[in-house]
Amino acid sequence: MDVVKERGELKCGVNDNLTGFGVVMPDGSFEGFDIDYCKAIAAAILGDSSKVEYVPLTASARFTALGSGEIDVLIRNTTWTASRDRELAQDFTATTFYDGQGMMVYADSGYKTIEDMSGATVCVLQGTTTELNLDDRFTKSGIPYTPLTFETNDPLQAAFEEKRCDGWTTDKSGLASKRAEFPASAGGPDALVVLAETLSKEPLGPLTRDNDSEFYDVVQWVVFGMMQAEESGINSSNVSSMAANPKDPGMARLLGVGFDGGEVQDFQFGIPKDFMQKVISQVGNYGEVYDRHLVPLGLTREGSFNALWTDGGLIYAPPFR
Amino acid sequence: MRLINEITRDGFFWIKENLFQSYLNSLMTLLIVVFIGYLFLDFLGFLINADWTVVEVNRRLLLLGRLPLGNEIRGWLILWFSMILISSSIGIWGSPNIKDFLIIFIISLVIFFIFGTLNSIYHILITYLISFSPYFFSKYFLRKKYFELSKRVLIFSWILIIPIFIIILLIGNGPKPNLWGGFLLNIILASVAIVAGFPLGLILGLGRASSFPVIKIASTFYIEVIRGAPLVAWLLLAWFVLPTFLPNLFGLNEVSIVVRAMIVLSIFASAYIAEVIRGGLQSIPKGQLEAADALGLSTIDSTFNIILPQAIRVVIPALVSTFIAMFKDTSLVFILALTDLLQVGRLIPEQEPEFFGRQLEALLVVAFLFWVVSISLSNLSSRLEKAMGIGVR
Repeated sequence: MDVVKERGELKCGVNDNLTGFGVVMPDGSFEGFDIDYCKAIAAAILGDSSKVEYVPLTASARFTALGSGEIDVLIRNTTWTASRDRELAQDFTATTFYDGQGMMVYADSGYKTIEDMSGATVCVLQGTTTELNLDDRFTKSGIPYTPLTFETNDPLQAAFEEKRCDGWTTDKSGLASKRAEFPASAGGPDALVVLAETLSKEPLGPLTRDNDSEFYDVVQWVVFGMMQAEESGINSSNVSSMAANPKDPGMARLLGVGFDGGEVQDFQFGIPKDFMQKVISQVGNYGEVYDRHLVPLGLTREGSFNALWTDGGLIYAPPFR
Repeated sequence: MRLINEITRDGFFWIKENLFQSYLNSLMTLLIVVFIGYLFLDFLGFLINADWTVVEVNRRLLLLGRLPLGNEIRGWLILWFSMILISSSIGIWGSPNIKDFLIIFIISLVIFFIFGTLNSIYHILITYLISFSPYFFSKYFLRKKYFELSKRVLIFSWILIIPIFIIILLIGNGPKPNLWGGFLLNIILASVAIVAGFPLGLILGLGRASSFPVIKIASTFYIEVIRGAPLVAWLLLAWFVLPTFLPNLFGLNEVSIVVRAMIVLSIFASAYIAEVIRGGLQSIPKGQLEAADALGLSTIDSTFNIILPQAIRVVIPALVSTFIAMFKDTSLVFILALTDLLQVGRLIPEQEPEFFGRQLEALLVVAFLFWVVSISLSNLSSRLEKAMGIGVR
C-alpha cells in the first residue's frame, strides 16, 4: 500500500469491453461497475478518485498481471473459486456482484422451472463452464435435453430468434442485457422470461496479492463501507450533511467522525479516518453504483442476490466498529 | 453505330471464348456468378442495415486511443509532419501521374469523410495545403536547383522521423506513453520496429553469411531463437518475465509497456529482416566478390559497395512484405494492456447496449485503415522495383 501512496496512483486491472462492468468511452475514459470500485479505492487511499491508472487486461493475462505486480488490484469480473484463491497466491476481498448462470425461455413456452423443460433444446456456448453446468443440472434431475452449441454469441442469438432452441443459457447478467436488447421483430423483451433458478454461483469481486493484508483490508472495507453506506441511507448527495451531523454512533464510525462530541474511532487502516466520506462523495454507495451502471442493462436488483440483506439479498457488510 | 456493333460482337466473342467454351467451363462460370452474386447481396444487406453511430462517436478513440482530451493537436502535428515528408519525397523522387493523384485524393476524402468532424474542418484544410504545397515546391524548385542537398536533408529527416514523433507526443507535459493508442499507436510501433529492426537485421544477415565462425554462430543463434517463438510469447515475456529476473539496470523494469513493446517488436522484426537479407546475399554470384578481391578491394568495401546494393535490390518485395506483416503484427500489443486500433474496434460495440451487434461496422473501419497503410507500402514497393529495374534485368 505504501507503493500506491508513494506512486500517487492506483494501478487497477480492469476489463475494457464488458458492457456495464468496464468499457472505454469515446473520450478515452473508463466507465462501469468494476471501474467505480477502482475509483473508490483510490478515493480512500489517495483522497482522489481520478488517481487511477487503468490497465485493460485480457482474461488470460489478468492473474499474471496481478501476480507480477503490474497492477495493485484486479477488478475484472472475476469469479471467486477455491482453486483461484489458493493456487494463484491471490486473495478475493469481497463480492461486489453475485452473478450466476440462468436460463431464458420464450414466455409463451409455458416453462416455469428447469424441471418443465423435458426434451427441450438448449442453446449454449461451446467449451465453457456454462456448458458443463447445464449438463450437470439436467443430469441431476434426470431430464432428457438436447444441447445446441455455438462458437460465438451472434449465431446463437440468431438460432434462438428462429426458435431452433427452446432455452438460452449463460450468466444472468448476460441474459438480462440480451433480453433488454431483444429485437422487436422477434417479439421484444416481453416475449422472453429468465427463469428464477440459478444454475451456478458466480460471485465477482476485487482481488489483491497474497500477503499484503494491509492493502487487502483497505480494499475489502471500502467495498463493505459502500454497502454499509447504502444500508444506513448515506449517499453522495447527503454525505457531507451526515458527516457534519451523524444520526447515530454507527454512522459516525463509518464516516470517521465523532458522535455528539465524542471521540473519533480509528480503525487503523493506515489511511485517513474519514476515507468513507471521500469514497461516498466522489463515487457513491453500493446502490448508486449499481443503479448507474447495471440497471440500464436491465439487471434489476429487487429479488436478486444483489439486493441488500435487509431486502432479502446477499449484500451484507460486517459491522463497522 | 457500326463501331458499337463491332464492340458488342467482339465482347460476345470474348465471353464465349473465355467463359462458355465447354460445358464444364459454362457450369463453373455460372456457379461463380451465383456465388459472387450471393456475396454481393449479402454485403448489400449489411450496408442497408448498417448503423455507423458506433464509429461516428468513437472517431477519436479509433485514431488516438486513450490519449487524454486536449492532446488532439499532437495527432495533427504528426500527420502534418508525415505529410510534408511524404509529399516532398514524392516531389523529389517520384513521378506520379494524374491517376495517382486522383486515387490519393479519393482515399483521403474517404478518410476525412469517416473521421472528420465540423470542428476539424480547418485542420483538414491545413492538411490538404500541407500535403500538396511541398510536392510542387520540391518538384519545380528544389529538384531543379538543389537536388543533391534536398535529397540528403530528406533522407536525414526520414531517419529522424521517430524521435520527432516521440518528441511531438511527449513535449509540454505530454500524456504517459501507455495512453498512446488507436491507429497512432500502430503507426508509431510499426515505424520503430521497421526503422530499428532494419539496421539490426542487416548486421545479423551479414553476420549469418559471414565466414567468421563466432559471428556466424551468434547471428544464427539469435535469429533462430527469436523466430522460434511466436510474437505473443515474446511480448508476454517482456511484460511479465523479464522484470522478475533481470537486474533493474537503468530503471529497465519500470519503463513503460510501450517502450518494452517497441524493443520486442524491433528485435522480432530484425530476425525476419536478417533472413530476407541473407536470401538476397545468396543470390549474388560468388564471382563478384572474387573479382572485387582481385581488384584489391577490402571485404568491407566490396560488401557495402558491390554486394549489398544488389542484394537489397533483389529482396525489396520480400522486405516490404515483412514490413507490412510487422505493421499488422503491432495489433498484438492489446495483450499488453495497450489500446491499439484493433482493440478499439473490438471494444467500442460494448460501450452501450444500443451498440450491441455493431461489431461489423467497427471492424470494417479498422480493416479499412490497415488496408490503406498496407496498400500504400506495397504500392511504394512496386514503384521502387520499377525504378530500379527489377525483373527486367
